Amino acid sequence: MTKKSIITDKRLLLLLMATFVVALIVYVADYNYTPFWITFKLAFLTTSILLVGSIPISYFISFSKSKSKFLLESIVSLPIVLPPTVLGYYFIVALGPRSSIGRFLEDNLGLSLIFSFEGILLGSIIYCLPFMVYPIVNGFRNLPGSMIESAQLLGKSKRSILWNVIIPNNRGSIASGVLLSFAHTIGEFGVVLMIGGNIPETRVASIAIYDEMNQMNYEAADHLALVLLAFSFILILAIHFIRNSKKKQFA
Amino acid sequence: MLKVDVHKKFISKRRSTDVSFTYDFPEEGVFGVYGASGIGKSTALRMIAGLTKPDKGSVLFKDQTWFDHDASTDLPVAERKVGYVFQDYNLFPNMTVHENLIYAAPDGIITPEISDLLLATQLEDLLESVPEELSGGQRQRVAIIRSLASQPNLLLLDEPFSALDDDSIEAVISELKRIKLNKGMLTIMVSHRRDVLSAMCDQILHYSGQGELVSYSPQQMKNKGFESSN
Repeated sequence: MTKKSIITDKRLLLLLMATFVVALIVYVADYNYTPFWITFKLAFLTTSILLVGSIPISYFISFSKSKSKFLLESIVSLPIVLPPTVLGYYFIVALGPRSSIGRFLEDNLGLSLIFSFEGILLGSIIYCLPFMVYPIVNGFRNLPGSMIESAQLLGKSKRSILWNVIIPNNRGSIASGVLLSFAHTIGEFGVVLMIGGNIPETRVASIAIYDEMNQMNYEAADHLALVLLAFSFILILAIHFIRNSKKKQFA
Repeated sequence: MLKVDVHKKFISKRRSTDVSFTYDFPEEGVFGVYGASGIGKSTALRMIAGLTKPDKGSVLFKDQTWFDHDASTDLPVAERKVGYVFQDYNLFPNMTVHENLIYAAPDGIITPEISDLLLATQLEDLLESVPEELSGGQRQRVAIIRSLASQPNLLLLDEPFSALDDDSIEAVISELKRIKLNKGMLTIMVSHRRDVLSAMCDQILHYSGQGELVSYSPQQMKNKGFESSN
C-alpha cells in the first residue's frame, strides 16, 4: 500500500467533491430534498451493512478450499445478470404479506417488508452484494501468497491475519467496493419500485425523476436528474482514482 | 534434530514430477541444499514448514511429530514455529519495520537479542520506514531478523538471494554469519548459487530430486564441479 499516492489522490478528490457539493447545494436550495435524503439514507445504510457482511463472505470465497463454494459465488453474482423486476418479484413472493415469513414478521415484529423503507433496504442489500463483494474478493486474491504464508509461519491465527494483514493491505479494494455499492444504490430503480412502490416513504431520487416525467413536470425532472448525474460522476471519479492508486501497489 | 522423509507427486498435463526428500538433520548447523531449478528444493522446504502437504512420509522435530501420513498427523503451520524467509514479499507492506518485528515477536516483545542484532546490522535507523522504502537487500535482512524475532525452532531460507544484487547478497550473508555465531540454530537454506552456499554453510547437500542427498563440506564443494547441475 503506497501511503503517499493515496494522499495525493485524496487531495484532488476532496477538491473536486467539494466543488461539486457547493455547486449542488446552491442549485438545489429551493427544492424539496426528501427524495435525496431517502436515496442517501438508503445508500449509506446499504453500504454500511454490506461492508460488514461482505468481509467474511469475501474471505470465504477467496480462501476457502471448499468444493461447494462455487454455489455461494454464483448466488452472490446473480444480481449482476438478473433483471431487477425478477429479484423484486421473488422478494415479494418470499417476504410479502402472503408469504409465511412475511406474515410472521408482520405479526411478531410489526415489520412489513413491502412498501416500506426496511423492505427497499433489504432489497438493495441483496441487489448490491456483488458490487461490494467482488472488488474485495479480487483484492484478497491478488495478495501475494507468501505474504499470508509469512503470517501463518509467524504463528498467527486466521483472525489476526485477516485483521492485521489482509484487510490493511486491501484498503483500496474495500474502498472501491464501498464506492461502487454506494453509487449503485443511488442509481437503483427497478428493485426499489417493485418492492417499495411509488409512495413518499420509499420514493428515491431515480423514482422521483420518473414520477416528475410522467406528470410532465420537466423542470423538476431536469433538476433532479442533474443532481444525480453530478453525484454519480463524483463517485465514478473517486472509484477511478482508487483503482489507479491500487495498480501501483504490488508493482 | 529434524528427521525429514517426505514425498510428493505433481502431475500436470505435460509432465509429472516426483519430489522425494529424505535427510536426518542434527540439532545445530547451517545446511545448504543445492540442485537444479524445478526439481523441488523449495517444495521440500515448504513440506517441512507445513505450507505444502506431502503425499506420504513424515516430518519429526525433536520429540514432536509434525507430519505423519500413516498416523494422519499434520501439525498446522502456525504451531510448528518455523522461521521462514521467502524469495520475496516477506514483509507486511502496511507495517513499518518496527511494527513488522513487533507483530512477529511473541506477545509483541522484542528481545534484547533482536535489538542487538538490529544495532549490529545497522538496521535500527530504518525502524520507522515502511518496506517500500527499503532496498531489496535491506528487506531480506529485516525479513531474516523478523523470522528470528518470532523465536522459531529452526530457520528455513528459500532462495533468499535470488532477487538481490551481489552487494546486497554480501550484506545478507554477513548477517546470517552473525546469527549463526549467536544462535547456532538449525538452518536450512535452499539456493542455486554454489558460491553463496560455500560461503555460508557447514554442510552442503546436493539434491537431485530423487534418492539420497549427497553431503559435501564447503571445501569439497569448492573443489568439485557439479556436472549435473546448472
